[in-house]
Amino acid sequence: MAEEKSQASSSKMLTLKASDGVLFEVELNIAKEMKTVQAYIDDCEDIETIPIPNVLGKHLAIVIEYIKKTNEEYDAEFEKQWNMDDLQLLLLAANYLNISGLQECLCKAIAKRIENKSPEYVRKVFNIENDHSPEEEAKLRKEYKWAFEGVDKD
Amino acid sequence: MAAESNSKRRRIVAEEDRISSLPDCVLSHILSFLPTKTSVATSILSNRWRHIWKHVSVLDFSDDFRDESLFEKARRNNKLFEHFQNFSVFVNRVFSLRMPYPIEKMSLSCVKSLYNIESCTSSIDTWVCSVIGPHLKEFSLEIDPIQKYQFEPPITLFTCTNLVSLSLIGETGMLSSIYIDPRFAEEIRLPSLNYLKLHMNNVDIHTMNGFLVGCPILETLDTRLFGFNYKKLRVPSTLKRLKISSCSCLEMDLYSLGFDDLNTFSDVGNLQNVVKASLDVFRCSDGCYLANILVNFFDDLSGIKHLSLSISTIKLLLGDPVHLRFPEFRHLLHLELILPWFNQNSLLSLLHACPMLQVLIIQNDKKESTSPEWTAQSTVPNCILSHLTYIQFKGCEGFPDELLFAEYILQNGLVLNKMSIADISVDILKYYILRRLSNVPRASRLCQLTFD
Repeated sequence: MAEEKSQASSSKMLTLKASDGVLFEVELNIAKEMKTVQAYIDDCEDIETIPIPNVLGKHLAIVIEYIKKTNEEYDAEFEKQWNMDDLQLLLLAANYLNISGLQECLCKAIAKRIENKSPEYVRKVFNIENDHSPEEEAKLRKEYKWAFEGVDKD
Repeated sequence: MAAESNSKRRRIVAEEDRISSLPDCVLSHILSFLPTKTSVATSILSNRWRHIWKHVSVLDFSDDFRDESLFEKARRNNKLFEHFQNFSVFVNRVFSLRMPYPIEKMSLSCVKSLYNIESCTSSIDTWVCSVIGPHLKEFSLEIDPIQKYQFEPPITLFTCTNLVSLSLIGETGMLSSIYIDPRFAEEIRLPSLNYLKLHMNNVDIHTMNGFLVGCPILETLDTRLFGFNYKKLRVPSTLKRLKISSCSCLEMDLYSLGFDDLNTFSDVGNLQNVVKASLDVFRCSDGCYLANILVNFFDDLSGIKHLSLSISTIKLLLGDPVHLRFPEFRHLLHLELILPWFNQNSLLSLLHACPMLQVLIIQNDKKESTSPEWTAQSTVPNCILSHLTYIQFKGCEGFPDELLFAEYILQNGLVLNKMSIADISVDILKYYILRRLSNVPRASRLCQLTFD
């Protein structure tokens, strides 16, 4: 498997086109870490430019950099640079592109930022609309009473 | 009406709820990193989130209060038992309402409100037993030993084929809240265990060896040892990281010698693959022999790269006036010491024994200095000349020999990148040290001096 990688890295480059038109030239072995892209290549072998309609150039750049640099140290520092909005968009990108390592890293990062926060805070941070009726909400609050005690102040 | 729908539309365009568009499995994966308390609370976010928490295969329960003042308040008002009851109701509800997927990770911590009565203890029994199974990968239990209650894990916990990480914490002073029946020792079979943490005061050599033999691929061990008789440990050769805290005195060692004394194991030792170790050995009565055992121990850690030593360990190693030989740490790259006193001669002797050292972190614990005399060194330790790149000095008091030592390092550290002086609260002292050290000619042009 390592041999295949080194062979590939010396040859083919691919172009990825982000949703806002920004183009990225990447080596084949980098692009293959994105399983969605891998599937695209498997389907159409001659392809040179692959459209990534769901991901902005800004985030695609971050994703590519992650794939190139990922290791234990890098991952530990990675999430600290991004705000919640970017983290969410990066997670959507990682999910669409099917990059398991990045997805794992981002899920952990997002979880860290909502730990022990109140539901109101979490709704605000994720822009979740509360579509529970007041009665439903009261019922849930009663059923899981312990879960709502002692949360951090917003 | 128009204004309302306009603002709503603007809100939707500007701030989308993107996260809820992810598939269920991703959302539950996020929740799997949260304490179960927070995870369950997400049920209230919206209808989309109502049942997500039920698909999580990780449970993390703790009866801890978020801050100490709440705990104090509950304790004063005699509300601790009620607290545990509410906690108990929550845990039981989680077990009954979640999807019946097997649990992969479980962490249970009862450290604030446990009482030694049937309703509490039978709850813990039930909760632990309900997660034990072939799917369990990580298990962590922490019980506060204040009520003379001893939880006895069932033998099935020690025969979990897929368990990768096991952590049992239950000790305060001489008390222990978790008890492992010594008859279980031979039955322990944890073929997948990689990480073992045993913080109990009652694990004897026999049981310890039961674990070591039953965990053939163990890589990390963090344990208390009753009597520092490491020679009797049947350490698997896979062990890479070791953390030992051991109270030792002659009586204890003789006591534990009574076990398995007649059998000599062929598979003892195997510490040569340990790369990271943290040692806290303290003696509770007189015993120079212990220092010798310590030196032998370091000899056996022949591959050690990262070493962390507590005050008591340093006291044993450097404290004896009749000086024992230093072990050689041929591969040591990173050394952390908490010094009981500042003695630059023994510190330099130690550095002579670490020829490859790259990182040195020292913390000065006692506010006294034993030797105001600085004896000129005949040779500079090899590590300072060719390997030391980072030194951190915590708790520097500005004593003459501390500063002489720091100056010595700066003057001789040919590859030093950074010297960090940390944790000085008094500004005048900081300024004095800064001035004094800034004027020292540095052997390494790249060297930075920082104060944290």
